[in-house]
Amino acid sequence: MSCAEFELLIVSDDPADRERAARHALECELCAATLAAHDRLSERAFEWREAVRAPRGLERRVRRALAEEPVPLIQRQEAETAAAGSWRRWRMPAALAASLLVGLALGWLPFRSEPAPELAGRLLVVEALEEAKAAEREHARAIARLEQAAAPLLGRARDPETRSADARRLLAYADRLAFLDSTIAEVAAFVDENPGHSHSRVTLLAAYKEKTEILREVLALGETS
Amino acid sequence: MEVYRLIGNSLYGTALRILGREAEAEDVVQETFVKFFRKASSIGRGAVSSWLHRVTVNRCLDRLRARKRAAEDELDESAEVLDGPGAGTLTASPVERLDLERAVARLPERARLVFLLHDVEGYRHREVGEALGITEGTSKGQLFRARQMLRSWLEPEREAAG
Repeated sequence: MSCAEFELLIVSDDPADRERAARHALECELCAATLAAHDRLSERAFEWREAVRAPRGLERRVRRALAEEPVPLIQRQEAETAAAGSWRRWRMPAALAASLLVGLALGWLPFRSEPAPELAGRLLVVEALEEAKAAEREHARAIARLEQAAAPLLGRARDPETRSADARRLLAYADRLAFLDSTIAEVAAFVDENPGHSHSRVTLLAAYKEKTEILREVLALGETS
Repeated sequence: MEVYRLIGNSLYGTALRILGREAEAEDVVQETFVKFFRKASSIGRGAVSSWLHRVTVNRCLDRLRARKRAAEDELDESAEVLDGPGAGTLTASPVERLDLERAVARLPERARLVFLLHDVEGYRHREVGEALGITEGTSKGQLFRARQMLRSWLEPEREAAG
């Protein structure tokens, strides 16, 4: 490999390219110095990311700005549903009662082949809710397996023998995972209290998906390094 | 506002590094959260943190473009030279104490943005290219150039020895 080629590989996103660059650096003193300098710069850049703190007043300012915003349509609809007599707390008993009523209606009124539209709608909601819960459980199980496999790799982030570029990447992954864990915990707690809050369930699923992707990236990094 | 507490510092840091001006960085963070509030229902499938960062970066780049246009207008009208991105205001900010920040502020605009997005924000070259409207190859070239310039300013002795 030429030194010109080395210059392209040293800035590549592909761990395999950087590995090739590192191998070249073992044979070329000048490129070894360049590689070390770039690694030092990357580390400093990463530390810089961690160093900045927002001014104290900014959160208050953002809160004020959000308070002035009109309520988004989805939240408005949810609020209206709640104001109209939310049946969230009574969803399961209501669904059972609805099923019973539907059964009775079917038995007593043979000319009515379908449950009333309102009851049918509620039954669909219950069914959709069960599907969402099953998807969440599935994600949680997959994540637990991935987490187990990724844990030793993430633990290597602070190992001095880990290549600095990999360590930097692993620390970034750990950082994102920590953020996602707190998001998941917070949203899951909210969903427990408000199982019918569709937007929160979508957010929870998105957080699960992102965590799954990050864990897969960690494992991929482990395979190449 | 739990989201703000989790990610507000990070978004503010991103905006401050790109814009170099505290007041503008605060504006961008506020705009980002307002947009998040308005669009929250449609963000579900993507990653919330990535979405917030992407919006922050795009808002910053819009502001840099506007700043550049304004500077050109000013030059046309009065030949008055405005500050470069981050110059002046960044010098006065508390985070300016670090050598790296001073050196990054001296980089040419495109190299500076590529370095910030790739090495600090963790973007891949493809994402850098999409954000800045350049090719992946240009992004790589600019990153190498930026790192070499920073190296020559921050580690002149080591470079001479190397």
